[in-house]
Amino acid sequence: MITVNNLSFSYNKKQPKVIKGIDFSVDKGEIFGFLGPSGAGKTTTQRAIIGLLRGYEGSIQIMGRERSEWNNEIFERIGVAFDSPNLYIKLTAIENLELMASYYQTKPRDILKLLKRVQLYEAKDKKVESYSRGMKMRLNFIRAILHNPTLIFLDEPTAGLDPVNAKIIKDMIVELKHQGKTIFLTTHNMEVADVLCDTIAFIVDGSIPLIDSPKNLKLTYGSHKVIVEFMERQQITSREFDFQEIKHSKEFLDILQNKEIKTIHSQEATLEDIFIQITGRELS
Amino acid sequence: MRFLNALKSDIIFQFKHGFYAIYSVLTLFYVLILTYIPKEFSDIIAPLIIVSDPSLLGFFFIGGILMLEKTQGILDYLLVSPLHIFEYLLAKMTSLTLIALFSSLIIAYSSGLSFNPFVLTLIIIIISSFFTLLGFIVALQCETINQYFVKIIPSIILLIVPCMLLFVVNDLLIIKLIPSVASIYLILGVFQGIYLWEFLIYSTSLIIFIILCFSYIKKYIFKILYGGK
Ligand SMILES: Nc1ncnc2c1ncn2[C@@H]1O[C@H](COP(=O)(O)OP(=O)(O)OP(=O)(O)O)[C@@H](O)[C@H]1O
Ligand SMILES: [Mg+2]
Repeated sequence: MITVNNLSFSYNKKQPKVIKGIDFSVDKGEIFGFLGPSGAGKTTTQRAIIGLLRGYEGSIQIMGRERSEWNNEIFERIGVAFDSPNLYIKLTAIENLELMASYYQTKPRDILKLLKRVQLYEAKDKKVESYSRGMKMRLNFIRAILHNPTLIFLDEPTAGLDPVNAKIIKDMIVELKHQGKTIFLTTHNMEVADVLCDTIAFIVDGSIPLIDSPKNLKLTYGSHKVIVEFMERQQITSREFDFQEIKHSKEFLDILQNKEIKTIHSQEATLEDIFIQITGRELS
Repeated sequence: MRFLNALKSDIIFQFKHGFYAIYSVLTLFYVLILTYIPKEFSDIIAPLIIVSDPSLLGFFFIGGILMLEKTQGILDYLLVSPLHIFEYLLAKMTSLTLIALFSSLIIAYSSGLSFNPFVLTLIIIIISSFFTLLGFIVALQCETINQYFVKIIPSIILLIVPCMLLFVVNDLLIIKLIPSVASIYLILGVFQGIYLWEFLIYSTSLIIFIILCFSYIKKYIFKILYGGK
């Protein structure tokens, strides 16, 4: 769906590159995530692929053609939700959706149903200026998928949403995938990357040190730990053991048999741990 | 048709942001002025009011609209829709020209002066096109309203000063070719009569400036909107 080769970009000739020769490809029907800290270049890369940046170096193949060879017709097939909601604030949710839908050749999806789905049905006739940020984000999201695009770009789709609404958006993203859509999202939320993405690219300082599925990443890099808390000389003490090793650990068995155990936790490495391990940087 | 939908969007947008309300109040105000001042003054005041409609108002309104759209991020979103930037621009020009026409015709009729409505319409379209394009170019460069208020100053000076100069020298052709001055002569001509060659010179000048604006926009718009080198 998308193949990026040796992509570089700088906003200003005098300044250093913010994207430094990255390669990756996004397959049809997958959810591909860019995970990285603020300023890593996630939005920049996404905007380059969408076609909003001039003068990039390298190549961006999208739906079988170089990005620069496409004209406006490509936007019939692409849906975009930017990181900050951009809506007509004096118009209602319905008016916003209808106005934008009128620029597309495809008949829009059922507007009321979409509004219901993201819990905006009650507020559908209110002006967007009275909306909270979370409401605007949700409206922004459904507007991106209104014209039934095959390739969807989401920049931080759950940022600023409460857990309930974040869940609704995440579920909808998975549904889109099941409908065969390709989704390219950026996030610095490792939980989003973990549950949603088929493939994750770690991006730091304009480079991609690693691309893989969350499952493989955890298998390859993650350690699985067991943490035991127990009483020793009237104090709670804790010990960490590698999950694979506990069978053979004398100390572990000794603690189990002879100490007063308070808690036992098993802990899997998170993507964030792996991210720090590989890049030496924190996500936020 | 995307253009017609864009036009509809613009009309809704301008209505919701109160542009039509401002226009109606202004038009009513002008009509009242014209009915109360003596006839000998309205000969000159009516054309001046009418020329300000497509020019000053067009210039400021397109600036205001574009800045409102920019601060709401609308322009960003339109850039990822199939709407072409020239369909977008043409819709803006058409919507503002329509209000200017409406208001000018009302003012012209209420002035009691005689004029040819078709010629007036044609001239308003030309003047309005130039000033909305110019206002568009200025607002395009600005990210904030404050920037906008600074960046419009040079254009205002370049357009207003030649009009002032008219009081000192009024037979210098080069001054008359400046869009603001040419517009005044064209509208005066609608009410007081104008030679065909004069009409052609002034309107050609404006049309050349319109073409210049268009080529500037065509050349630089994506650079300005997209950033990058
Ligand atoms: N319009 C711009 N002009 C100049 N520099 C920019 C511009 N936009 C971004 N940058 C710079 O480019 C780099 C990458 O920014 P980008 O917005 O792509 O990061 P990001 O990964 O999306 O971060 P975030 O998680 O904060 O959204 C940063 O150093 C940023 O300062
Ligand atoms: Mg970003």
